[in-house]
Amino acid sequence: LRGTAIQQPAPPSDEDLITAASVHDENGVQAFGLLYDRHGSFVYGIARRFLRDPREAEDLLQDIFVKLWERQIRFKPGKARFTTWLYTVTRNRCLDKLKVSSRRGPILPLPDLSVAQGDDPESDSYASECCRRVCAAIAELPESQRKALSACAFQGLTHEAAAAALGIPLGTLKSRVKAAMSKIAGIVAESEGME
Amino acid sequence: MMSHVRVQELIPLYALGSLGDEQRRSVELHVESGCEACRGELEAFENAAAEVASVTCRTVPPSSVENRLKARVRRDLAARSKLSERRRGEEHRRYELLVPLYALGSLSRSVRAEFEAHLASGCRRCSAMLAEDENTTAALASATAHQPPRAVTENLKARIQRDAREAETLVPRAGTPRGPMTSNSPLVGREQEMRLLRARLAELSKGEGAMVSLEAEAGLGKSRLIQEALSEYGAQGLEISMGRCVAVEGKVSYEPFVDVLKAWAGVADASDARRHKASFDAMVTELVGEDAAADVFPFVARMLGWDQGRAGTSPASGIEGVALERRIHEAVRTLFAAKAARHPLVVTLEDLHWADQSTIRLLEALLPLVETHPVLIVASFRPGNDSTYGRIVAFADRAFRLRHHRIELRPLLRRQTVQLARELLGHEELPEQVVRLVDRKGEGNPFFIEEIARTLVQSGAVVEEAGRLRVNERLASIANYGSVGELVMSRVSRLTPQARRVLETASVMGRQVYRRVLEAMLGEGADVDEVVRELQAERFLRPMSTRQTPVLKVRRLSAESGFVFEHALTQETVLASLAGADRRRLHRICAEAVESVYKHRLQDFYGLLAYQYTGARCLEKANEYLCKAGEAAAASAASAEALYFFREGYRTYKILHGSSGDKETEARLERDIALALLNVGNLSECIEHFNAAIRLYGEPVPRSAWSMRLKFLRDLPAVLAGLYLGSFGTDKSSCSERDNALFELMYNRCRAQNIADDSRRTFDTVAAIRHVGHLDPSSVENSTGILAAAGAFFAFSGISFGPSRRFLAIAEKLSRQGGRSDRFLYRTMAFVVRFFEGDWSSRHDIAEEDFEYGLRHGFLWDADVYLGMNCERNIHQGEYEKAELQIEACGELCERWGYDFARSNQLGTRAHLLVAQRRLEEAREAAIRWHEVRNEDQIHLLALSLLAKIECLDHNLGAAADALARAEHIRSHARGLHFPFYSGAYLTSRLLFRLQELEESHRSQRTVPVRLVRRVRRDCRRALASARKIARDRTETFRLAARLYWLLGSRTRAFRLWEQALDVGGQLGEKAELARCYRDLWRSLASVKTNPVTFRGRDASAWLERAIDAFVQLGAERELEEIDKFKVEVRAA
Repeated sequence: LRGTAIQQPAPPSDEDLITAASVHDENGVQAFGLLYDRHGSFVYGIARRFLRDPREAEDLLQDIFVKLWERQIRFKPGKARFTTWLYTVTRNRCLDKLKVSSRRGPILPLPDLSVAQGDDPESDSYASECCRRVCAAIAELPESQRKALSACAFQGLTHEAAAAALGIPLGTLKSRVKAAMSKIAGIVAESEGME
Repeated sequence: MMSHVRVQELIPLYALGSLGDEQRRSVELHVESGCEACRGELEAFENAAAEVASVTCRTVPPSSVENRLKARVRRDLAARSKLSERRRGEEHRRYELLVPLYALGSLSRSVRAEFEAHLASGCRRCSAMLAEDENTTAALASATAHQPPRAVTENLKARIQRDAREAETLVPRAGTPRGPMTSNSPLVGREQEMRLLRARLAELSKGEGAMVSLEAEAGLGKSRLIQEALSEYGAQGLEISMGRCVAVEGKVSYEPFVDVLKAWAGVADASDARRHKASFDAMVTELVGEDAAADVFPFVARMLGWDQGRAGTSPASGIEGVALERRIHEAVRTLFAAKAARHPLVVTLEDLHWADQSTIRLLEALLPLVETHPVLIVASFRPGNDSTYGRIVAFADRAFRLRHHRIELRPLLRRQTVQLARELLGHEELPEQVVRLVDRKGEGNPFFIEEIARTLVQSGAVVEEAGRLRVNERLASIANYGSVGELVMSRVSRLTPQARRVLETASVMGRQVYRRVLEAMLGEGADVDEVVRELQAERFLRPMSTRQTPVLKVRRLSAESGFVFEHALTQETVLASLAGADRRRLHRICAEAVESVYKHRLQDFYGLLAYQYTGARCLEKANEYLCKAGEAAAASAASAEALYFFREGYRTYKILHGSSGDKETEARLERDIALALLNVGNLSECIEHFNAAIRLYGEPVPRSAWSMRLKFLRDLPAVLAGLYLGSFGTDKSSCSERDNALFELMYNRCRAQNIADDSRRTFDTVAAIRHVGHLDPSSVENSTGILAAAGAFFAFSGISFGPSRRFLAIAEKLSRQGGRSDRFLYRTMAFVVRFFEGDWSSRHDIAEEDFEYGLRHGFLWDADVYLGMNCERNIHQGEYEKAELQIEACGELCERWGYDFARSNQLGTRAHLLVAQRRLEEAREAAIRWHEVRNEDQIHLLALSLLAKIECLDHNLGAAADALARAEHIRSHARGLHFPFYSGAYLTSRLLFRLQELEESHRSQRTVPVRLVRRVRRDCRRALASARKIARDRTETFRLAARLYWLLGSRTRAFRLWEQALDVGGQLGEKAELARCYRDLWRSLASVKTNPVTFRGRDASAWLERAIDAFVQLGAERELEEIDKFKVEVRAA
C-alpha cells in the first residue's frame, strides 16, 4: 500500500443529507444536525442582516430548520442548488417579516471579505473554489458598484430607499447592481460548469 | 402586468431582496406566467445572490438555538417512535384478542388466514399464548362431563400467580424507598433566586413595587420557586393573586386578567351571566367608589365581552379599536391601583409565553403601577417567545430598569442533581448506577429528575435492603428510555385503566381541567373523586386550590373548580400519545360537554369551543365558534386574537364549501379579517381584504392603472352631478343592506389608503363618495362624518372648494339631527376645509370638552388631524404658547390613547414651531427626527421640505439643495403626492432656495444666468398655483415671489404680489409673515437710490419701522439681528 494516497470519504452532499433527514430516525437526526452545522450560520447571517435584530434572526433560523425537519417546507433536489433554495426561503421569510413590521435602518456595508470563506474542510472543492472566486470578484468590483450592491443586498431596503440613501438616481443604481450581479452570476455559472 | 423589459431590470434587485411588495409580486407573476428568459435569469441571479450571502453574511448563531432545535428534533423523534410503538402495540393487542377465538376455532376464514400469517411472521408472544390456550381448550373440551383435569387447574393457578406478580410491581411494597409520590419534592439549587424573590416581597411590604421576570425552560422549576417564595415569606397582609396562561390555540382575550377580576368579584363557576355582572359591578363599586365605577365598569364589561357596545348610552358604546383598548387598560389600571391601595398586591402570572397579544399589551399598560403603587408582578415564561413575553421584558428593561429584576433558572449542576435525587429517594448514599442514570437522563432538569426517581421507585428498579438502596435488573430497562416523555408514558401505562382514561380525557382540555366538564365528558357512573385521588397520589394532577395556605391570603385567579396538571410537560406528553381518532373523539366530547355545562354563558368559551371542534374535525361547528370568538375578541379590542379567529374561520369555511360557498358570507368574513388587520395597523394587507370583499359583493375593483383612471372619469362627474342635483343626504327607501355593507367596506378601505396607498387613494375615495349618493343617511353609521369627510377630501385634494362647501352644508344639516359624535366629526372636517380655504377665525375651533368627547369615542384620526392643523394655524399666527399646548396634546394622543401616528404630528409641529421661532439648530434636529419617525413618503416629503427651508434660512445652500433633491426624488417616484398639502410645502421651500440663489448672485454682483431666471419664473408659477389651494402657504409664497420678481426687475408684478401677501397675511392673522413682508419691502425700496419709490404711500424707512415693531412684539430676536445685517448691506449698496 506504500505510495497509495489515503482516500478520505467524500463528505455527503446537501442533497444526500436532505434525503437522509427526511426519514425520521437516528440517521435522519444526524443528517439534520450536519445540515444545521453546514448552513445554520448562513441562514442566521442573512436573517441578521435583513432583520437587524439578533433575537428575531434566532427565531427565524429555528423556525426554518424546524419546518425543514417537519417537512413543512421541502427542497426538491434537481430543481435548484440547496444553498440557493435555502437563501430564497430565508430571504422571503425575512421580507415577509419586514412587511409586517415595516422597519428600516441605516445601510450596512458588506462585511470585510479579507477573511476568506470556504476553508471548511467539510465543504467540497467546488464550494470552496466558488467562494474564493466570488470573494475575489466582489473585492475587484468598482467602488461604485460595490456600494450599490452593498446598499441593495439583504438590507430589507427597497431599491428606491437605497438610491435615495446613496444619493444617486434610481436608474444608475439599477444598472450598477445589474453589472455587479451579472459578473458574480457569470462566475457562479462558470464554477458550476467546472464542477 | 409589468412589461418584460421592466421585469428584467428588476430581477437582480428581486434576487437581493431589495424590492417593495408590489414589485416583488409583479416579478413573481411575470415569471410564473411562463417567461423562460426571465426564469433563467432569475435562477442565475438567485444563485449569485446566494453565493454573495454565503461569503458575506455567515454569522455563527448562538448555541442556544442549536440546543433548542436539537431538543425539538429529539422530542419529535421520541413522539414518533412512541406513536409507531403504540400502533404496533394496538395491532398486536388485536391479535392477542384473537388467540382464544383461534384456539376455539371460531374465526372466519380470512381472519384466520391473517392470524396465521401473523404467527408465521414469528410473534413469540402470540405463539406462547396460543400454546397455553390450546392446552386449556383441549382440557376444557375433555372436561365437559368430568372433574376438571389437573392441567387446567395448574394452568389457571399459574396465570393467577403471574398476574399477581405483575400487579405486585405496580404497588409500593415494604422495603420500597420513600419516593417522591408521597411528599413534595425539595427545592434544590435555587437559593440565590429565592433570596431575590424574598427581598422583593420584603420591599413590597414596605410599599415598594417591582417586576420580576422568571425565565426558564420547561421543567426547571419556575412555578415551584414562586410557590416556595410566597409560602416561605408568610403572611404580611399581602393580597396574592395567581394566574396562568394556557396552551390552547383558541385563546381567551385578556385571559389571566379576566380570571384575576373574576376572583376579585368572587363569581362562582355555576352562576350565570346576570349574576356575574352583578358581582362585578359590586366589586368595581367597592374598589373605586360609585362615581368612578360609572366610568370603569362599562369598559370592564367590554373586556369581558358582555357588552358588544356599538350603540347605546353606555360610555363604552361606539368606541372601537385602539381607543377602546386604551380605555380598557385605563379601567383595569384603576382597579389594580385601588386594590393595591388597600393591601400590597402580588400578582403572579405563569406561562406567559402562551399569552395572547391582548394580555401582553394590558400587562404593558399595568407595568407603570410598580413605580407608583405597592404592586409586585412576578411573571414566569419559557425563553424564545419574543412576540409575547420577550416584548414585556424589553419594555420593562427600557422603561423601569431599576424596578425590573430578571431571574434566569439554569439546569442544576451535577452535585445539585445528585442532592435532589438523594432527597427524592430518601437516602444519603445512592448506588453509582442510579447517580449515573439521574445525571445522564435528568439533564439537570428537576422535573426530569423527579420523573426518573418516581419511575425507579414505582417499577421496583430500586429497593431498600438493610437500610441501603440496591438496584436490580429492571434498572437497565429504565436506562433504555430515550426521553422523559417515555418515562412519563411508562408511568401512565401503570395506572389503572380508569385512571388512564380520565387522564387522557383531561389532557384534551389543556393544563387546566374544569371539573364539571370532566364529569360531563366521562358520563354518568364515573367516580371522578376516586380516580382523581389516584392521579393526585401519582402526582399527575392537583386540585386548583392546592396552593392555598393558611398563612397567606391567596386567591386563585380562576374561579372555576377543577384540577391542574402537575406539569405542563405531563399534559403535553399524554395528549401527544393519543392516537388521532381517539384524540378527535375526545375533542368532540369535550366540546359537547362545555356546551352543555356552560350553556348559560357560552360566550366565555367561544375560543375553547372553536379549538375543540377544530381538533374534532367538526368544521361546521368550528367555523361557527371561530366567527363568534372573533366577534367577541373584536368587541373587546383584542384585535390580534380577532384576526386569528377570523382567519381560521375563513379557512374552515373554504375547506367546507370550496368555491361554491355563499358569496355574502365570504364577503363578511373578508370584511372581518380586513377590519381586524386595520385595527392592528397592517394597512397594506387590510386593503387587499377590503378589495376582495368588495369584489365578492359584485362591485368591480379596477386592477390596472388605466381601468382605475377610466373608473375615476366616470365617478367624478357622477359625484359632482349628484352633489349639484341634490341626491346626497336625501332619504332613500330603496337603499339595500348590500349598499350599506359595500359602503362600509369602501369607507374603511379609504381610511387605510390615507396612509398606506397613495396611488389609489384619490380614485377609490371618489368611488366611495359616489356610492354615498346611493345611501339613505339615516341607515348608515357616521353618515355625517362621511359627508363631511367628502367635503374635506375635495379641499385636501385641491380639486375645488365649491364641492367642499356643498358637502359641508349637507353634513351640517345632518349633524343637527344627529348626536354629539356627528357634531364632532362635522366640526373637525369643517375646520380642515376652513384651514385650506383660509378662514382661520377662532369660531371654527372645537371646544375642549367636545374634543375630549371625540377622543373618548375613538375618533383618534380626526382628533390628530384637527390638532395638527390647529397647531400650524397657531404657529402662523404667532400664538406659540397655544401651539406648545397642542404639541403636548399630540404627545398625549400617542402615549395615552395609543395612536402612534400622532407621534409624527408631534415631531412635525415641533419642527415647524422651532422654524417659526428661527431656532434653527433645534429645528434641524427636530426635522431629522420627524423624517425618521415613520416610513411614509408623505412624511418624508414634508420633513425634507422643512429641512431644506431650515438650511436656506441658515444659509447652507449646499445642504438645502441636497434636501430638495431628495424631496424631488420622492415626489417624482411616489404617487399621490401632488396634493397641495404635501407639494405646497416643497414648492415654498424651493422658492426660498431660488431666492437665496438669486440674492447670492446679486450680492456677488454676478450676472444672473438666464437658466436661473427661467427656473425662478417657472418655480414661482408653480408655487403660486399651489398656494391658491392651501391658505397655509399663501402669504409666504406671495412674499417670496414678490421679492424674486423684484430682484428680476418686474416691479409691477412684485408690488401686486406684496399687495396680495399683505391682504392675505392680514386676513389670516399671520403676524410673523407680515413682519417679514415689511422687512422685504424695506430692503427692496431702500435698494432704489435714485427716484425713491413708495408702496401704499410708505417709503422704505416707514416699512423698516413697521418691521422692527412687529418683530419686537413677537420677540423675534434672530430676525432683528438679521435686519441689522441687512442694514449694512443696504448701506453698502
